[in-house]
Amino acid sequence: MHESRRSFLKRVGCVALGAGCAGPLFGAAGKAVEEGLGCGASGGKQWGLVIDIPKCRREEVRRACTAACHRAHNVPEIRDANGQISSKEEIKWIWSEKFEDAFPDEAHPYTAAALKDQPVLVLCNHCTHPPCVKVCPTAATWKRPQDGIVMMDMHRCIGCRYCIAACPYGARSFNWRDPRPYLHAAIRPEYPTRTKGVVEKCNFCEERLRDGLEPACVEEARKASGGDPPLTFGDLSDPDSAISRLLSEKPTICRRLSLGTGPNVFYIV
Amino acid sequence: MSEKMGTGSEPLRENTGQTACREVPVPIFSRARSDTPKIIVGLAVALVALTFPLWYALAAGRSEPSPAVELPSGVSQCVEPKDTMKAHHMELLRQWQLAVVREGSNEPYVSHAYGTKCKMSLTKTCLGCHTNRANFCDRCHSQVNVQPACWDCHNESKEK
Repeated sequence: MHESRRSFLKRVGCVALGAGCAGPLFGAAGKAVEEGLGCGASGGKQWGLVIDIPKCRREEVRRACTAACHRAHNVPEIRDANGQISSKEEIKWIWSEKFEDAFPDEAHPYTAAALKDQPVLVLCNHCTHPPCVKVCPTAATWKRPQDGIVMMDMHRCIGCRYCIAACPYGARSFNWRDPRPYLHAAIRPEYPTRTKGVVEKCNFCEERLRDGLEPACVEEARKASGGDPPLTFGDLSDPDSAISRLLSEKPTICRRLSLGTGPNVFYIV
Repeated sequence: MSEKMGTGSEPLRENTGQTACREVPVPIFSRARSDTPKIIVGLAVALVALTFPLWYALAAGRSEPSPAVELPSGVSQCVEPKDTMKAHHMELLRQWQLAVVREGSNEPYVSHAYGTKCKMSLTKTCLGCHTNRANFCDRCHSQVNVQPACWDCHNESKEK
């Protein structure tokens, strides 16, 4: 068999091109399959929270949660010229939202009066597939493999705010200015403040979990409600945990489930 | 014309009237009104001026002594020996930061020199002893003109 130099080079070129393309293609396909199949818990621990809406009906309970969280994490209260909480620069980790705003897919014209206009506690959902993590260009936010917390590393945040745009729950706030003057004398020295130009959000009280404590909101809600815990925190991957048992017993809903983010905060209506 | 061209380049050059341009280059050192000495002197002066900090420091030994820092009372040693801390504290802090924030480690730091254990925390461990930032951290940082951003977020102790 005699082959011309030209046809030989053509074939070599085709093989090289094919091999060069196949690697990244197969790699991407493999990754997509892995991510698609790994829905829900990837075998590891996943912290989750159940919020009992009827038990949080009293304003003191919700206010106690927010106050405890914001005090524990040095979250400033920025007010505008009229003394109202600034709508443009508000920083919040856990706050109240109207039922129909928190659950636009669940609310309809005949929603029960007990839920309509009813404020609901909302916070970061520590999603199984967090969109904020996908868009972060510096890996300043990432999903912690050991317990599923969507973490923030303020040392790496460059303030691009892609994550704010990506989060469908509005769970992230941007520090438009140095927060310290708005904390006055109430700075808790053990926890860092933030600086101008970084994004912040709920961290599921990662620093308290480290010391074996439950999140501040959970603890404070129990105290404010007087016994019966309105918030239940625990490991979703453990079938015997209090949260897993509660979820198997009571019907619960999630915020904007259809988006595929896989929220890990559940609500009893 | 054609006759001259035929003779080669020599007669042609003579007739162009641009002898100054076509002159064979003379070595620069032999030119009567050369700027060379001025340039060389200028370069030498510039070189000396630019390297002044280097040779001055060499000639004078240590240019400036380390500032005196206020050490915490009631504690005999830091997590590592003094010289290690002086030279590498920023690397140690970076290592702690990565371990605690990125990896979520709850393990204590074990001192390489002493074997003692401590919590990997700037606020609780370091600033727990070094309560006065101005009289400790800032003294050296100001002298070497570095502005670490630690205190933009990490809180100083309330006691001064």
